[in-house]
Amino acid sequence: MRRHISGDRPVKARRRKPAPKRRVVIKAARRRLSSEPRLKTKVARLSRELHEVAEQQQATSEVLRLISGSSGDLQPVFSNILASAIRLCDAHNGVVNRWDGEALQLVAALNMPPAFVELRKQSPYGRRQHSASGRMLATRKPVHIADLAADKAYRERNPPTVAAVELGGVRTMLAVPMLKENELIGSFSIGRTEMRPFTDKQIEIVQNFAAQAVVAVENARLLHELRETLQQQTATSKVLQVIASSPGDLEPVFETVLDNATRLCDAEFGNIYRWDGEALYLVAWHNTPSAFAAYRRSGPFHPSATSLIGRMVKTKTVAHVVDAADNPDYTERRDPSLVAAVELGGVRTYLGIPMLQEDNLIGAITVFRQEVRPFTDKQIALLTSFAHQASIAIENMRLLTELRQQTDALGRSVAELRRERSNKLMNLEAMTASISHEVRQPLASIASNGGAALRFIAHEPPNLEEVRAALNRMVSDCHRAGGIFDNIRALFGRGDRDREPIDVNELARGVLNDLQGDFNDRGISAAAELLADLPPINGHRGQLQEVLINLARNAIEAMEAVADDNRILKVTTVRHGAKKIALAVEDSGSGIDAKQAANIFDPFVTTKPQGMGLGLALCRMIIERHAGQLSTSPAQPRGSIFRVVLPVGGVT
Amino acid sequence: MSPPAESKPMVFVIDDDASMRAALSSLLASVGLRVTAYASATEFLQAKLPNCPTCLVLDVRLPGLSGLDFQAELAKANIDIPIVFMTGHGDIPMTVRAMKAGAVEFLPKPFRDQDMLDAVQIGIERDRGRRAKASVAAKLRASFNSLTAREQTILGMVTAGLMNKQIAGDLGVSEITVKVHRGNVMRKMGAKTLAELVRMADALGIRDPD
Repeated sequence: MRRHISGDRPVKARRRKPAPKRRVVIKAARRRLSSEPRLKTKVARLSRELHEVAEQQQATSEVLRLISGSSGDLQPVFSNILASAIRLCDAHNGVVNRWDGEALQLVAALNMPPAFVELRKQSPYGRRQHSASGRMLATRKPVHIADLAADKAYRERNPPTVAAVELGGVRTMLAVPMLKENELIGSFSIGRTEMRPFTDKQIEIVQNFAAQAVVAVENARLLHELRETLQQQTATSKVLQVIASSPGDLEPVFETVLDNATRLCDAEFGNIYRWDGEALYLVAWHNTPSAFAAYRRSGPFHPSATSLIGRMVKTKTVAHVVDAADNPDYTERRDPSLVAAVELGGVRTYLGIPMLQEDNLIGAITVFRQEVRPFTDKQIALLTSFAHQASIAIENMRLLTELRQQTDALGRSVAELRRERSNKLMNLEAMTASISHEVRQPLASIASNGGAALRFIAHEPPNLEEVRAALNRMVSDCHRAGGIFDNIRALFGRGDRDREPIDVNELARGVLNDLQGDFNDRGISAAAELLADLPPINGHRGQLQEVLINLARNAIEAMEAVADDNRILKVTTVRHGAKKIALAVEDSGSGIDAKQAANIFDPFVTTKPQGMGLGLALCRMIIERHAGQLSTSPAQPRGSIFRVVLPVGGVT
Repeated sequence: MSPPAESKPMVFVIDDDASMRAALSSLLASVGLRVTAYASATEFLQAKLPNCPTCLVLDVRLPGLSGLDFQAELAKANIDIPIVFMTGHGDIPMTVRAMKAGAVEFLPKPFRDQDMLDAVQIGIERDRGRRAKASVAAKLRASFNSLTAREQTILGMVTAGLMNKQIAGDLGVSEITVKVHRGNVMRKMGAKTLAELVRMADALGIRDPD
């Protein structure tokens, strides 16, 4: 059992018993009813009323059925309501008007002659008229006129009143406003061709029908809005879908935007332009007449400053031209692009919306009609949203491109860093290898001489002559090994402190001069094509000299295999851009095959029998230390070119 | 008792480094070897090779032509001479290539003098063996060439395992005649037994394969 802490007492259920008194009353009433004849009339009246109510309810339910069944088409609903109202109120004719904010527009009429309908369509009811409807508009209350012919408005020959009386034959009339939350949206009028006022009940019925008409109007509006919203949402989602599915391609996006924009804006065709700061360029079009599209595509579209598109570009606002053919830019043929639109595209009404990106114009979308019919505010808003979507797609594309470029650039710089790092490692390896090779030579010689000396001393008798000779060679080999380290230190040891301005031409001439003997021995003709007034570079003379000697020796060796009369070595100097110079050593030798060219600068690839014997790898290292580049390419008709590019003034 | 001058081995040294050439020449001379040194491969090719066991000591890096390419060129020209390579770099792929192509040894500079002498000795022995084999073959060929056409035919048939009677039948001569020819073949070829004759025929490559 529940305990009632609050202390309330449990409620006891009461059983109802029929009150004996009530039964007695009903019985008495029956007796009176059957006995009194005037009650019979009352019963008849009541049953008639009951019938009326039933009829009214039937009519109402019919109207409701129509409202719910209509697919937004109000005409049959109005006609039906009107017919029911006329029938139930025992009227002869009637009209339904819609209020458009300015006047009452006839939307349905029953039992009215065509002449009346025609006249009403031509002269709608204004707010300020003294007619019955005018009063209804002013008061927003039903207006009931027993004799319209006697009304002041008729006497003053108010045209709609005169039309109602003289064309519609209306005498008694009732006008009821259609109110939606106190806002006038139309009116409901019924009339009689005789003078017989409507009862209060009939007025109530008409008011009821008017209310139903309001519901129908509201329903239709909601349905229409829902459909429109749905259509726009579908279109928007389609465009967004295309934007998402084609990130690198604007064409399908523009195509979808235009397809939906022209359809939803009820336009014949549409164009999308890109703006480059000076002119518009047609980038996409949908159903555009080919002659017009071809004209727009033939070149940039410079809209004249006075034209509406020109203003659109300038002010970044909507351009809405109701009749292009009526525009002085066309009639006076001031704007050739407008003339083209009218004459090639058959354009009459058109709408242009700027495409913006953070307030910057990036293009425009235009839709065209080949008839004069202005676009609604809703359509303008719709096209604005499409313009926005197209801007998003363009921005997306731009970001994507930027991202790709950055990724590429990043990839390139990573590759560059890797190459640089591996070059450094390789240079170090080359230097080590080169030094080790240089030193191994005298060491091997010393060891062999030592071995020889030991053996000659062990001869019986010892061959001292040979021992002495071997020891002498060992001493000179030791000095040779020491010399190698001196050279290395001379080249690299003191680093960059020894840099000085160097005339590369003079350096080249010096090296060619030093090697003249080698050239003569091998039948090589050496030529120098040196650019006068070559600016000096800042560098290490010994190192650069070594590079040049190496390149020249390479060239000499490369030409050993070719016939004597074809051995040509050419050294050229040129300017390489404003801040660099280039020195090239070209030979007419056998050339470097492509496979070897790839790693010609690696250690072990070349042989250096004399001098310091630095390899190409070391040459490149020296040049890179001078902030330059060393590269090779095939010469014509054969041979190789080694090119050294060095910055003027050098690194500091 | 020393061998005649012509068969006394000769070592060739090719190195562009003059000091290295002198040191190697001296080392090899200290153990009584005859040495001729050249500064380049071209110089070596222009010289006439002596008729004695030889060995070539070669630097992998030669001016104008790498030691390995020179090795290949010698092989192409059918000049069979053992090569001992020297190198300033311990480059493994190069070593493998040289050894595969038949080099005796691949010595990194600076090498131990004894290693060089051992390698050269192996080279000389190898060449001596090759030369001996070549001279035996030449002698055999000369003996075979001294046989008459009929004796050469009978040599082939005998070493193929035919009996005198069968040979006589095949050639349409008497068995006595076959016996006489056969005696001449054994004598001229210097074979004491039939088995020896069969080996000679094998070496000459003239045995009837049946």
